[in-house]
Amino acid sequence: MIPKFKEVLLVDELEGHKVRDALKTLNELVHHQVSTKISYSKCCHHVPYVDVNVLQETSDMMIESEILQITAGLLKHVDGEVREQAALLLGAFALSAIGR
Amino acid sequence: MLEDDELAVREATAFTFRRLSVNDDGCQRMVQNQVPEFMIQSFIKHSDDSIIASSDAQYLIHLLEAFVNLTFSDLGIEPLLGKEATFQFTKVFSEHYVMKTLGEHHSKVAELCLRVIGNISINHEGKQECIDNLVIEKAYHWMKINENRTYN
Repeated sequence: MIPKFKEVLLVDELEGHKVRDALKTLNELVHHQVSTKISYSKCCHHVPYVDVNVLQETSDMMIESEILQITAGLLKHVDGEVREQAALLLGAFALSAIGR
Repeated sequence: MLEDDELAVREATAFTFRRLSVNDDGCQRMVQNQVPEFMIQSFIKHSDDSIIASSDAQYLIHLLEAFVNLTFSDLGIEPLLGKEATFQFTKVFSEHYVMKTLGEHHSKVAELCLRVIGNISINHEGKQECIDNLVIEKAYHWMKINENRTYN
């Protein structure tokens, strides 16, 4: 799935709203990973916790697919919504050691 | 990016710096790239009485959260010294125009300003800036306004 988004983001002169939607979906993928990976510890079943290592998986996969570099290039995009989504996605990568 | 024409872009950029400042190596990278200098310039500009707007509250909060993380060490404090940062943080938590403009967001902004000032005061030069800007006196007046602002 991620390589497909990479292909989309690399299309020359793609309309702004399509680039924005692709970035929005990537942002949702990262945040969806966060919201679905809340688990419960074995000793305290009522206490939810977040496994940070698992949370990094999606963003690390994106970074390995060079989505970070492509996104950084989109910070200069003429469409403000593209710039916003690009900055938010970089914010998601900022928590990853390989992203930093 | 911190001076983008669109507020949503500025907010997203400040959010990214906030996230980047969570880790020590993120703070180091920010300092190496003179990010704190740009952040404080933008903070001073957007919290100035001639330009401050209630819609900027979240932007200021993201910047302040990043400053809180950055100022845990001298490395992050030093880029803020001599740039009127302490003066502006003091002004923002203590002056009426900010309270009036930011409304319900002001208490969060004020709390974060005080946390940043507290961190800066650990540094020798930073402490002198706090003294020069009468931070103790102004914080005392700020606390006296509402009993919820003090511990018993």
